[in-house]
Amino acid sequence: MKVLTMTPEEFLYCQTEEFALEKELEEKDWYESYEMEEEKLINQINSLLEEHSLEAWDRLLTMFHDPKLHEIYADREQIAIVYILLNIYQYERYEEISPVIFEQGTHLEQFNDLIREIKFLLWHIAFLDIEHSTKSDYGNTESQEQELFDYVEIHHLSPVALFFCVNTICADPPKMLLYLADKYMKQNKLYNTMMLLKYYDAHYPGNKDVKHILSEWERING
Amino acid sequence: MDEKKFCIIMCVNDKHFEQEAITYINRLRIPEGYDIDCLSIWEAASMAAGYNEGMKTSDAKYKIYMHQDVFIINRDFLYRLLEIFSNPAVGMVGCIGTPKMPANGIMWYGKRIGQIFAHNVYHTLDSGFLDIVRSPYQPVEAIDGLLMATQYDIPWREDLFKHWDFYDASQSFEFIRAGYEVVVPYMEQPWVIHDEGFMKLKTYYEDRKLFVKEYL
Repeated sequence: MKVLTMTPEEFLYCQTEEFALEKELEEKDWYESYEMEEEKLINQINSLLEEHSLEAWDRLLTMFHDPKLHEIYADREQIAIVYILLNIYQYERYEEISPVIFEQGTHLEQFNDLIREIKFLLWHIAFLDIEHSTKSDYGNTESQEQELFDYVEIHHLSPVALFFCVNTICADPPKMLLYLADKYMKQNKLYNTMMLLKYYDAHYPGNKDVKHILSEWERING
Repeated sequence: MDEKKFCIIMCVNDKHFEQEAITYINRLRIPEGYDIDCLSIWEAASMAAGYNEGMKTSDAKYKIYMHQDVFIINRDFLYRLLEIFSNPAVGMVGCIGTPKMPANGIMWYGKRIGQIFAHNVYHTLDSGFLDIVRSPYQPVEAIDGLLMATQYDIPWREDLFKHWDFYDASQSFEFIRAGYEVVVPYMEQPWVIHDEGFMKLKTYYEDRKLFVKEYL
């Protein structure tokens, strides 16, 4: 879905034949210059994933720090997934979390499957009971959230990974984060609860209840 | 033709998405006395060719052509369709449309109306970027192919569009040529999620020229 912000003059120009021909040329140039290169890049990514070591994953991270790579490939499906995975990995390394996301596979295809499954499960919580989703809660979705939690556990996904998935997949990330944190708390999974609330507070500051829970947690656990 | 039947027709190439779309379809409330079929077309030569195959195969009066990555979240979707189609002048309904197709045929550079949740790997947007539809529905020149519901069968132009673009704008113009209205309904909340990913425009501009020549 293209979301466009433009002046009235730009808006009118975008509707002209001249503009369409310019875009056509741009598109043609991209495919001529980068389509084959993209295949090579994906092979390179898969080789690093196959190596399955911190060193290889760090090399992948360094490779993707190149702004040129972002400019050329950020809107390509497979590469976009790698950007998401690297965001998760970077944060996991910073938090000294183990296992990290890349331990869950040795091929990009496996990570596509992983992200797709989490996406479907999160949307089940958010949308399968749509009548209730405008209220503060998501309605009667206990089996759906259990499916998500089971999936997260089976695949050894960290709260960081879950946080990033919620942020990219859900239409209302703060609402879903609070919802999941609450459900984890009801299951007495306090580590997951606190981690989700901690990331929530870092990204969506200003919720006094969350601040209070986090400071109580810190007071008790040091 | 079965006047009391819906058929959802999808061109598919991914069993995970097909199954997920069906998960949502199975939760739809079906109006009393009506049936619903689901038809997946694998290995279609083009979108128009696949939809023609689906159209000919199904005897349902109401056909809903949609992408495999569209999940219908409004459980009363079929009821809403029947309300709109109670007006025989309405031929086709979509979730997003443009009241006036731009002269170059690129739908997203025109004003667009409708409601949708759209996901593209990095984020999920709700419809804040689309204009609101006047209740109960608003006529448009073209709807987006993510979901196209019809109450009449008009052949898809597989003779012209041999890829995966412009089959939607073309079909909209074919309905209008046949004297029907193409509309986008007012939706309080989006009726669907579209897991659309990123646009692949390799053959888009080639088809654009065909579209402009035929319809504009």
